[in-house]
Amino acid sequence: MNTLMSLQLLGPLLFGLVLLATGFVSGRILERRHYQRIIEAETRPGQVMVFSERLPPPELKPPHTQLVMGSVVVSVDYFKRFIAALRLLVGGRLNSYESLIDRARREALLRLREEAAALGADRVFNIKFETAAIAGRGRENSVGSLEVLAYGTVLIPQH
Amino acid sequence: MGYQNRQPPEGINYEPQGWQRDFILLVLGFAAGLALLTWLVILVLGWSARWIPFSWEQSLSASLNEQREPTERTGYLQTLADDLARAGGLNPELSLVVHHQAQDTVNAFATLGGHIIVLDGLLEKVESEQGLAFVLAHEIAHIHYRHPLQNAARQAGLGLISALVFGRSDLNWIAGSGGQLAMLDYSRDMEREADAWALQALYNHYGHVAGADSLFRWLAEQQQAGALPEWLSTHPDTGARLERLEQLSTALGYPTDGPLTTIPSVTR
Repeated sequence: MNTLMSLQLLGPLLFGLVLLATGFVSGRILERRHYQRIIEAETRPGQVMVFSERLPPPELKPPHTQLVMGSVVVSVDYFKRFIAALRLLVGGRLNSYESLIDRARREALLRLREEAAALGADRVFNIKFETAAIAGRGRENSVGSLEVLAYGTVLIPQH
Repeated sequence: MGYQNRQPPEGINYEPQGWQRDFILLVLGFAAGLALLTWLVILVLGWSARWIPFSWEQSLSASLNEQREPTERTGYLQTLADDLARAGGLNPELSLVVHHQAQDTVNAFATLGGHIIVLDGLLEKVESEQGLAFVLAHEIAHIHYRHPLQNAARQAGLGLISALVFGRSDLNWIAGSGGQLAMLDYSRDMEREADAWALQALYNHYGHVAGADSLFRWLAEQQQAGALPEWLSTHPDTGARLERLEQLSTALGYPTDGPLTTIPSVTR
């Protein structure tokens, strides 16, 4: 194969690889930092507790209740979508989206807890999650971004 | 109170470092697969081009016929080319059309449909008809082996692959411009094949191969010290080419001395 001929294919390919490698490095750093923040917040002592039970335990003094929400919108980036597109060829776990959605869910829950803590509560019951895809720019496989919403009923103790 | 929130272990709902590993595996796999596909397409198309009927080639290159001026010079070149084709045993299904162009570049090239374009610079530079005949026979050999068609088929295949891969992405314009830049040259194997065929045609036509290397000798003088090494180039290094011609002549027992024919003044 001669040099010019290979340049025709390799040029764009190399350019693409450089783009992807850039996103790979930055995405990796961002994701690691985000997980550090999430875990640090989740393990902070004195966190508001969250439960999916529909009813609070009866032995609690009748508290004030209120709806609390935490919502996150994340976008699928070029690189995650690229990897996902290649994944479609071979099948298997869509790792690139899994970690993204996992981060979004946990972040939403943390924001809900923050809201609950601001209301002076120490626990939230009946936690539910909603995930909604927000369409992209109308291009193919446009999972442009998605919203994760966590909501629940906060119990504000009466003193 | 049995109510508490414990932190579950990481890596259950996602795979830590998972997409990074995916990225490396998939991208490398994709690149390797693309390279393999490209190589296969080039191989298969180049190989299967021989079954494309010559009439297709002719219809593709029909526009070249309109530019041809039936001058004495063209007539002389056409006659010489036909003689050489007979001497070298050109595939009878193919036919030659020789053109000349008023350009100072010392070159000639063969293209689809059996067209050979001789640039005037070549006619001015060669000292004997044998020197011209060798270049002409070299181009006839390309047509005999259907190299232009193989290259065209490969180019089309490459275009198709790059359209498939980059066609629906932001890389499209880069691939597109790359496609226009990449004019396929003949591979070194093709050039060697053509040299051997041309030498044999020259021997059959003149009975000796004197003067066959005259153009290469001139090229060797022209070549500067900083020229590309042979392995980087599609055109075999002139020195290596001269050596190979000598070896071939010796191996086949072609006399390298003989009367040189002068080129008729009509071409000057």
